[in-house]
Amino acid sequence: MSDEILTPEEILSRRFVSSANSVQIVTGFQRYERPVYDHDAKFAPCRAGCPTGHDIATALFLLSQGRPELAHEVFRADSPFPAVTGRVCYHPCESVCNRGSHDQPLAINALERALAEYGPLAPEAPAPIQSDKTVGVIGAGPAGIACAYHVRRLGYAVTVYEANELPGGVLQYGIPPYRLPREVLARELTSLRKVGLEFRLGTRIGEHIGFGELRQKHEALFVAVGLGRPRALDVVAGSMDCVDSGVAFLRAVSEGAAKRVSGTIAVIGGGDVAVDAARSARRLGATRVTLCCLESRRDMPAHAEEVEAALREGIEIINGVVPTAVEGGPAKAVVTLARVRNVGRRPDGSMKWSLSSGTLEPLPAARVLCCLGQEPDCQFLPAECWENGRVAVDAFGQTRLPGVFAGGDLVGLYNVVNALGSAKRAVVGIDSYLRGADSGQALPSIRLGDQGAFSMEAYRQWRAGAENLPSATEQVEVADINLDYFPKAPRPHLPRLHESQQDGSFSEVNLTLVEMQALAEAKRCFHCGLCNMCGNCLVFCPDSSVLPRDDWGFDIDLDHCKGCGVCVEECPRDAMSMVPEHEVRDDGSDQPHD
Amino acid sequence: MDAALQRLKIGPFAEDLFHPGHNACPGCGSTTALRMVLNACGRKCVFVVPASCASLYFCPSDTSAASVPVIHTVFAGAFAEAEGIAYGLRAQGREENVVVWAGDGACYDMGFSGLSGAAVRDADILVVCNDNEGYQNTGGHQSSATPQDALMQNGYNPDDLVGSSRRKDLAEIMASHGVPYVATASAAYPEDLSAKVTKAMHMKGFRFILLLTPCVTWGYESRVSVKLARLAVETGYFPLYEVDAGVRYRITHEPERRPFEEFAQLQKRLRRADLRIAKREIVQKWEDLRFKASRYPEQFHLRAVAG
Amino acid sequence: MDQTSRMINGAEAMATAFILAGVRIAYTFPITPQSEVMDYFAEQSGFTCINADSEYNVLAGAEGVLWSGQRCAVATASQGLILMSELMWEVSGNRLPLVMGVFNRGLKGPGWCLGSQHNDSLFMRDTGWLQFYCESAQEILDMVLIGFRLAERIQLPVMIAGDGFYLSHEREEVLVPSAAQAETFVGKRDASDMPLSRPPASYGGLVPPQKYYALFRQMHRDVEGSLEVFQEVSAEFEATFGRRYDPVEEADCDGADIVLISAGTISGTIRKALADAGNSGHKVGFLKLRAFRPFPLRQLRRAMLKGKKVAVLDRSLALGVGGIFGSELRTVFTNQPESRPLFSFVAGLGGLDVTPGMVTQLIDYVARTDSPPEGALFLTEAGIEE
Repeated sequence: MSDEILTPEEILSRRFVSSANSVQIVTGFQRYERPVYDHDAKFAPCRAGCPTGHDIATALFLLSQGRPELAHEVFRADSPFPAVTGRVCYHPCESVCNRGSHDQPLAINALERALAEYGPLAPEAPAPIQSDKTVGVIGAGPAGIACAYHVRRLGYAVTVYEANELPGGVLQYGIPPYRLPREVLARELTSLRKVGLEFRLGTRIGEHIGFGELRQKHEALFVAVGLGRPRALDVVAGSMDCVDSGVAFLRAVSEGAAKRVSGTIAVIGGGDVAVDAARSARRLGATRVTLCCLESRRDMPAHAEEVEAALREGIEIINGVVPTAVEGGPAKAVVTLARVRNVGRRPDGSMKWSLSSGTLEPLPAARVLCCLGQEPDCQFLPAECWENGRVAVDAFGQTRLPGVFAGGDLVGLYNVVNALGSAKRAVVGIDSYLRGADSGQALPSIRLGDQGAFSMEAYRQWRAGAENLPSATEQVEVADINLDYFPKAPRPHLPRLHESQQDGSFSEVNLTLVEMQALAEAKRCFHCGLCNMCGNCLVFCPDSSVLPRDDWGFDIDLDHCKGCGVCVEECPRDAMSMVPEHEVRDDGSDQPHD
Repeated sequence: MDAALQRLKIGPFAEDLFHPGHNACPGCGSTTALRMVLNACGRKCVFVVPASCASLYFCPSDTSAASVPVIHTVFAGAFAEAEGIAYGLRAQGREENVVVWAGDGACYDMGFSGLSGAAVRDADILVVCNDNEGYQNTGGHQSSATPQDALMQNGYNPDDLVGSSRRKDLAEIMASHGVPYVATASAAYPEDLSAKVTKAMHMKGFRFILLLTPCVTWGYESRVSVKLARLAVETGYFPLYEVDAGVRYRITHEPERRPFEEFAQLQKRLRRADLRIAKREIVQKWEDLRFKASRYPEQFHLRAVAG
Repeated sequence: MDQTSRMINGAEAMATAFILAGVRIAYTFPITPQSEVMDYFAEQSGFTCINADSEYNVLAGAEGVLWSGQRCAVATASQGLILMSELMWEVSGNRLPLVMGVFNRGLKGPGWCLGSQHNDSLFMRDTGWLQFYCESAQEILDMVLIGFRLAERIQLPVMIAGDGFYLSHEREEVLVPSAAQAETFVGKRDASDMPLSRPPASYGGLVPPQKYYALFRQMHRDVEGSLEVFQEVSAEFEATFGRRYDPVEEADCDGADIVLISAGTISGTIRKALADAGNSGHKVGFLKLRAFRPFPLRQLRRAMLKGKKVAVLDRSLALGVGGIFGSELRTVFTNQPESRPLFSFVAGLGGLDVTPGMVTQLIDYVARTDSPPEGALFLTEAGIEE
């Protein structure tokens, strides 16, 4: 036998067989741009538009995955009580939501409420005290609570001084229970006490304790006493006991001390206080409620949703009028109204107008509620702190008194969420002041957009000494979203108690979305600029060059990525960008390298 | 994100059977689809590849880019060759699937008789045609899959009105053979594609899946490769459907019917094309498809028809 | 002996050989004069016939069966064989041990031709396929069995050729081995080198020029080396079945005036012509060419040098050149110290009858002509012309 029987190895050597793995061939050299997961450099417009900088995209992602408690935690990183803001916030986030340019904006406010309800948090243990310096907060309204909350979590002991018997400010004494049930507020306050907030209630500055004493006691102070003095209507004839301020009326409602009313109630004013007063009056038995305001329907400072609710409840609104006289009459009072034009607002917040032609029927009323805005009721701050009737502060809440910071309505803001935002900025100011640091240094690392929003988590990392924090410099626009992945879908109809079932009670009118609905709506969120591990990049890469990490996210195999850009194009939410090679290479070249 | 979110991680494949290092063009629509098909097929198969770009990208520089055996063959011979492999394997009691990964050149033109022959003989093979509407490996030459009026290296000359030719509807041609399974799929719809491949892999007899895979010779920026595949479907140009036993039609995706211009304007090759031709084709195709899909109710049973 | 005597034609002999070798799959396509081979396969129980759509796909399918590790039966002729061209190179290039039967038939050409001509099989002489020419149904049967052993030892495909109609359709007495004997001789195919018995790899993709060259050189060496293997296998066959098949068969070449070389059924005619002539003048030796690939160079040279002149009778024509055997046999003397005048004759194209009388004419011509012409000599009943 010859040895010409070929062995399998010999046969194989006579065939063209390629068995080495192609991975050994480097194809990355041909690239002139590369994909980068730069979601850390991006922020969603909702976050920039939220005065208190909630990371809405992340929270809604967590909610959409059935983890409302984690979403709740995300909100709590930047504000103290999502269950409250989920009811009373005027949601500027929704106006800038990218989805709004596609079909309808996300019902973010309703979802904030839902995640707080469906994701209750275990009580948070107080953060360890890390400084012997303490902070005093004057005023337990939204701004004061928020400041105390963030400051305590940064490790400072904080005491909140509140003149009223209960904390909450406008939350407790202003906003009626049908908008913010008191049980919800109480629950949130209990949870906040567990965080380590210490309240000294029934304590008025100047009466029970001196301002100077507080300055001695605490290394820094935050003043957020709000606007305690309602403006009076100057055309009222003498003192008429059927004429009240709306603020006082609402306080009575909140304390459960409001008496039933009957007949017609006239409400003067076009803001939220006016609408709250009107709707409360309705519930207390008024047969007719007429709201008279200077502004046109479109320009009313009250929120559109509140106005619509008022109209649904049968409240009559007369726009573009001013009371020229309020006199005694058979049914207690008569309000004479005149038409106005050229309505405007002065720097100190008061209104100006010119009378127009045309007369109206005089309006008889059993009660007249004046809701003309408020002025500060604060005597303890020196004159140099004031400007145009409000306390002057810098970008981080520092007043003209060193170590004294201020926020909320007192500094000229309006609305609960703006108060929260100002308090959060003041916390940066306070913390920098107490550490002897420059608050402006932190800004590039923490800022989101240019409306003052910032990430508290980023601030914590920065102050802990983290270097090379990614700066979120790029806002995700709707043009950056791959809309092909989002078939059009409407937002849900927000459930509420029908007018016929309200029965004159102060039961909450707006209801929480059913959990399934909330999850579905959260899924509608683009999650702008967030990597939610959808995997499109990995699935569509023709070169198998997207590799999942063990924990979260992906890496690009730069030995093989050819820079085709498909991954970036197919990322639905702009969590990736293509970057020219010379921008990322150390030598700044585009040339092929080994 | 942290450990608390571990369970939210994605894992689209059990393992990736397609390796990087191959020399396909950046943004190649064919390799995008191949990776999905290969991973849906799994390891227990053998691929037969006729002359095409795949003849190069499966084995760059004497390496292999796939974790399955790949047998390269001549342009028109893949279908009978795959059939022969299947016969031989079954005679040995082996169950590996034999998968042909062929381009439109092999399926529509040169190998058409072989494809048709394998179909009527009910060869136990899965033929996956990655149709990029031309002989692209040679630089973009016209095939009978090329849309009318597309600018190719040869073929249609708009100044000449000569060379413009129609294109075949290969999915319908194969369905008319009455084979067990015919389907169309697209890499832009990975779940649909994987489902169809998986279904086909569990069947016996002749199975055919047609994929429309964009090619850079169409004249587009590489990054829109998947977008084009999606637009082809969403404009109605490439319907996604499947046919069981040649008679039971099921449309598996309802497209938005976006204007065909959205697909055409991203490609240089359709710059001088009279788009009305394609639009007419689309309308006719969908009329046809709707009728066929309505023919048999959901409770269709093969036995009932036969008996 | 387990061999049975049967009166069968070449087609049945060919089919029987495949079946005896244990093949149970065939790729088939009808073409005259081979179609009957297919019919015999179809009759056989337990045999899968795949009726392909063309011969191209016949060979593609058969290649596939080989890739899967099995054996496959293929037979064709003429147009069908030429249609397989592209795949012929792939089967040999991939070193697949396929055995194919061919019944020679003329090509179209000027028109349809049904009679025998060797151009179809000779067209494949460069492809790396081994090819052998048979003169009887017995030889066809035996060579197919030998072909399997040879192919699977050297991993090259083998073509067994016989004249169409003369062999395919005419019956003769054939000794048919038993299935057990044949299976023992042929053995089982060891397919451990096939793709599905090995870790995943890419087979036959784009090959770099150096590798391509190296593989071709190896194939070249293996085609040359297959001669020795063939002789070994033949010796085994003789030991088992009592019939011997050499690459060339010599008869009366020692001291001959003329050594006459041919292949196929013409061999029988030549033997008859020589027998009838007796000793009338010329001493003619006959060299039957069996193996054309591998080309039995040394055996041919040794035998051809035994005579004073050499005459080659071809049933093929390379247009513009001459008979194909003649062309290649001329190279036997190239760069050699000794040579002989070589006359290259072409006859029997298109199945035209080659008679003993024509052979006698040929011998007379060669005997009286000192210098052969440069080109081919065409031999018909009417005579010889250049």
